[in-house]
Amino acid sequence: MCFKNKKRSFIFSLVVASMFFGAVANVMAKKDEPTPTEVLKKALVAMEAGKFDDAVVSMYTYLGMVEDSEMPGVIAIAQDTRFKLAVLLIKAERIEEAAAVLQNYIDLPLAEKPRQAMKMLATCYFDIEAYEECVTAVTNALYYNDNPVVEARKVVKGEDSKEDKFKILDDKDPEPDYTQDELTTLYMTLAESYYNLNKWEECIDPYSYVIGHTHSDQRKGYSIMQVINALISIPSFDRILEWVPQLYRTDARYDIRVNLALINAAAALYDAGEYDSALPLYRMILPREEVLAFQENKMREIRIAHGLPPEEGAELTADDLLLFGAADERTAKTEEKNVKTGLLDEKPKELVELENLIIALKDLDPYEIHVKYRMADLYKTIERHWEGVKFFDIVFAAEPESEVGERSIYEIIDTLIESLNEIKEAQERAFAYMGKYKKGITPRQIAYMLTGHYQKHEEWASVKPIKPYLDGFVRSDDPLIIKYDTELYFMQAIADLVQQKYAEAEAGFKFVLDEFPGSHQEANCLYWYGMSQVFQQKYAEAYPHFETYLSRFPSEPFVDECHYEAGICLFGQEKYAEAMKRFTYVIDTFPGSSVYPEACSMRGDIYGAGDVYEEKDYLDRALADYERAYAKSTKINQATYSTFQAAEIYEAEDKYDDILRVVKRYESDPRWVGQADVAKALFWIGKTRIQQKLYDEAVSTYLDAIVKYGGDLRQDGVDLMIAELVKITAIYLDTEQTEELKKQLNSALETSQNETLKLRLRVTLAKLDKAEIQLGETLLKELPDLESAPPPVLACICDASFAKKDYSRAAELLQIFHDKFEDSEYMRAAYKLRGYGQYAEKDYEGALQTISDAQGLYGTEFDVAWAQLMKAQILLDQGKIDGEDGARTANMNILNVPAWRGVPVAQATFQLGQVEEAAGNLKKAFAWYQRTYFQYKGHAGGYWAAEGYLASARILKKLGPQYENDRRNTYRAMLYDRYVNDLPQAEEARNALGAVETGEIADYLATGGVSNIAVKVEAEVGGEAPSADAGASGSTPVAAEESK
Amino acid sequence: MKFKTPMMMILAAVSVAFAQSETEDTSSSSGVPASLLASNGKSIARVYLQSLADGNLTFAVGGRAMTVPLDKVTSVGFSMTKEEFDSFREKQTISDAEIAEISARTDVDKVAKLQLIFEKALGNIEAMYVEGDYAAAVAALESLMMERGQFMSIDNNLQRMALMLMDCYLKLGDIAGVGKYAAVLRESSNPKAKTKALVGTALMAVERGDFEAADKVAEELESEAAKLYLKASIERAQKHPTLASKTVCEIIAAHGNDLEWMPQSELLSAHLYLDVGLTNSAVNTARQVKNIYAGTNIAGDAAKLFYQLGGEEKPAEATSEEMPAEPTE
Repeated sequence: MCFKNKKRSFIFSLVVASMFFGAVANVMAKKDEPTPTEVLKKALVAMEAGKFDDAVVSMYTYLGMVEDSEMPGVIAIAQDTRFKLAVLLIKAERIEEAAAVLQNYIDLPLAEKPRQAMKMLATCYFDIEAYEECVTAVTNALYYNDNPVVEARKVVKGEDSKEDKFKILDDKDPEPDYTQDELTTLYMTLAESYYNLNKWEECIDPYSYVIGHTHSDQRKGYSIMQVINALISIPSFDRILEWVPQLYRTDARYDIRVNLALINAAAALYDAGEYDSALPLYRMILPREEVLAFQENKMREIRIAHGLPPEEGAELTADDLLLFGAADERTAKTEEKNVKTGLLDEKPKELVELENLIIALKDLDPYEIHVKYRMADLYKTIERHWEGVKFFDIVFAAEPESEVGERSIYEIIDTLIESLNEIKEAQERAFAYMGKYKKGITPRQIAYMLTGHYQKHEEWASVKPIKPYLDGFVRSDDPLIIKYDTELYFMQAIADLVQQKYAEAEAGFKFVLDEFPGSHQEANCLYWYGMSQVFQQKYAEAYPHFETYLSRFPSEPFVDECHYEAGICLFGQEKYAEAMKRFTYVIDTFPGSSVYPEACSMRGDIYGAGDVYEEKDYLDRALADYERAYAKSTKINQATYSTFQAAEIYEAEDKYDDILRVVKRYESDPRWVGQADVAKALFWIGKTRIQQKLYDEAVSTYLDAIVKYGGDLRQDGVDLMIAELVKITAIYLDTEQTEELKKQLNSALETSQNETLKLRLRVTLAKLDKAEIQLGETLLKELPDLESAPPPVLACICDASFAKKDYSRAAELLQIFHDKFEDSEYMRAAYKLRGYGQYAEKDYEGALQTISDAQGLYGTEFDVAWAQLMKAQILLDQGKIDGEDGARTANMNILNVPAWRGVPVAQATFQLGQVEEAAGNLKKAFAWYQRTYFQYKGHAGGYWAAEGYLASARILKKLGPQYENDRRNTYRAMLYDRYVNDLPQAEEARNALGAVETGEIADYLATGGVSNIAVKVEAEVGGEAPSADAGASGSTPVAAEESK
Repeated sequence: MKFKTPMMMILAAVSVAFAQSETEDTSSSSGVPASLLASNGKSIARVYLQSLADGNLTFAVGGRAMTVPLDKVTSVGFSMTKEEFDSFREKQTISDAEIAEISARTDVDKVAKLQLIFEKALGNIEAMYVEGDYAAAVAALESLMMERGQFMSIDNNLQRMALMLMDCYLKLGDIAGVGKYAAVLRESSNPKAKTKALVGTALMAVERGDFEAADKVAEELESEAAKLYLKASIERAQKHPTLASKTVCEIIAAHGNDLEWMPQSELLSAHLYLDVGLTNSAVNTARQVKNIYAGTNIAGDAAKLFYQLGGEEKPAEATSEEMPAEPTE
């Protein structure tokens, strides 16, 4: 406003000055020569001579001289002079003066060209940005055009009673109306003025007039764009869409300014959340190359039109001038030098402008990708996901390494995962990208997104294929990249951990700790590093990590867990007193911790063992801890463990009602609905029924539970029930009841569709028929993999493999147990197979570790005697005979275990013979061998007895010729011995004795005769000498004695 | 004595105009009355179209039957018959007020007024189509096309109505109706009409599950956008919505300003989102089709879908441009 006021006062001053100047001239005229006529003539001469400044001065002088004249003729000439003066002032770019003169011209009577003057006045005001005045000028011009007489007479009437004097007005030919082009130009000026005054609503009608009347597509398009911009500013978004198709139909869409305006308008609409209006505008924006091609073609046309090689063209219209701000000169200097003259060429202004436009267009950064990206983003925002993916893809394909390109590939994968659930395609795109682009943040973000998805859906196996891509990423010092790398590798290790690949997890966590020291995941990583070792029972290695955590990260969230795990590590190292102390610390310090129930259960286990705490109430204390654990359990495994540990104790105390109480409480606890190991609970109920001698109920409970829960691989209670069912069937059911049970099992097998249940039922039936090994052999061929095989099936396969001495899958089978069924009773079969496999490969250290693990789990139970026997044998093979850790002691230990009486002792006895033989104690060895065939011929089908005979004969041979007869007697005794004489080993005795004697023995036996052959050797009696009853007489030490 | 109401007077005037128009025609030939523009530029104000077979048009003019090759005919023009006028009035296809408004015009002669009334009635039928009232549009157009339908392969002023009728049948699932007009229109020299007829034919095949036939028709299409639209329709019918969505996106990306195929392609996109259970996406897409292509029947169909799905006018709020999540501790 301030500027405008200044302008107005300046114009006013000019007018006053001219009047003053005129008055002075008038006075002077009185003295001097030039009359008004002469002055006017002078002005006209100067004008014709092109001396415009002189002409202007003279015209001002003339006007001053005649200003007061009331003569119509003078007034008319003065008006004509004013018009000419205004034209000259405009030419001289003295626009404001021109405006003042024109305003005078319009305000005074007898103007011959008021329409033209009004139009020129509007243009002047527009040029000097006096938009308010311009609006008034255009409005007046348009009104005058429609009402010329009324308006002209208003001017005359303003002169009061002088109407008659101006009759001349009626005598003149009327000035023609504005042409259509002039009207369109005036409306354009009006629209632009309103627009520049931010009068958005007011500008729309005049623009609409222009759109409806102009012949220029360019002007039409520009006007539509301005309408759209005004509607955005109002705002009136719902009116925008009606203009878009109109714009689309004009060539203005090839104007780069319109395209840029479209971008801005679309962006404004987008920002306002007007997506439905923004989208068509974005779609309309043409690629720069297309605009360029159009404009270059147009330029060629213009060149031809101006006789330049090669083109045709159209004149630059007043509309174009107004639109694009060109002055009215028709030519302009160009930057293009003439080849011949070396001077700058003169060219048509429109051509120069177009050339400049094309240059600017070429210099303009490509905007298509930006537009495509905005469209992609728009589609994504309004959840048109496939469209979003498509447009992001266009951006990515065009500029894969630019910021928007990287952002686009991220968005593509994000949309595929999060919105479209097209995981496979997302993974393919991600892998392709990460494989090719290994630098910077984006590949990491994508890896992180993919990892996050798999983590969220617990698809841990799918996390691992990402690792090779991580390994391929180019490392950086950028802290954010390091953070991503840390996180990604950490999640890799977590994936291994969750998949129970503990060794890989351990290596993974170590990698993170080593590669990214001090990272944001260091504390977590340290904890899980320790945990991955705990899971592998590497308690001694794991322990320090938990202690380090506690000292370095005392305020991190795993402090309670670390105390607990440290206790576990101590427990694992059999440091029970320290472990108990640690568990007590957890119980006392962290009563709200998630590991509180576990700590209670673990302390309960220590109490229950009765070693660390030896008072009488040790079981009560254990039970109290299990109660605490159960009460605070938040996870099913916590409740399950404490419940069944308590049941074990109650069982030891024959408190069956208490067993039923805790088991039924567990089974019906609302906290564990749908989670409780009901099968295990039923197993305990059945077991209790057996103890209560309610066999039918027990069988029924087991059978129902096996059928009901046997389809779930994880229900290991079912497996316990299978074993129990087989056991009670063998002991308590008669043939008829057994057959009925088998019938029911077969019936369930036929109707079941569940592979796991079917396998369990087949195992149960095989066990009842004592045909597990045959079943195992069948399943080995039948099962493509062992994923759905429950523990009893795996055990059958182990047994079958063992029978065939096929150890090829021993490691795999044991690993499956470790990974899936660590607590299963059936795992012992896998240990045995593995141990024998390692022994066969002479992997003594491995075998000893397996033995140690098996003995750690199963102690001296009957079916793990193999472990001690093998241990003794390995020690013998290693030449370790004497001492506590020698083969002799190892074998002797077997003889002292009541559970191992029978075959294990038979083998141990024989192995003791081998030990003494290896030690050179031949007579002692003989005594052990002899004891084997005297005492254990009824065990293992006479196998060890036969071995004993042959080994005895071997010793007698080693003792020298004086024992030759004893040796032959030993062979004879073997052939007379009905337990062994038909075994393959007897062939050696037959060979030694020869056909004749062998025939005689056979004949003798055929008559029903028996032998009393005895062999007696003086044993070297010592502390470790066997005290076997040798020979039929049962005397010991024995002496070789032949008697037929 | 009863005085005639102004409306009755207007209608009487229209009837007189019809009578005069018919009186001027001195022939008594049978056939469909029409004007004819020959390829040499000569026009005949009134002919009676009788048949179109084997590329030849047979018509009567001045009581004389003529058969000319179709390439000698540039276009024909159909006008409204008295019966049609009465029928339009009776069914309120055009209101008495609209008739009165045209009759009151002083700047055109009687014949031109009749043509304007005809155009107005056609415009009203088009409005039914745009509003998605396909059954009403069919009811109005069927009688109009009964005798004229066979000539729709010739360029004429009712060809767009024939295309509209075919589309109505398509929307209503009337395969026979689509087939009837597709067969005629695919012979048209007007590329737009031909393309639409071909797509109509192919979509019928898709409806029958004859994808091979649909593919074969697609080969004849010159419009890349039309081909893609058909491809997407086939993929949808084959229960491959994801593939179909990707194909639609090809149209949107490469032919975003093709106003012939974009509206229905985008509407198809909305349906495809619905097929895969992405209701929000379907609603938003339908809303955009409704708004962007306002004034078309596709926008009408989109509006129906939009409201069926419980759409509300305001689009979803823009989400801020969040950077990918950083690793958390």
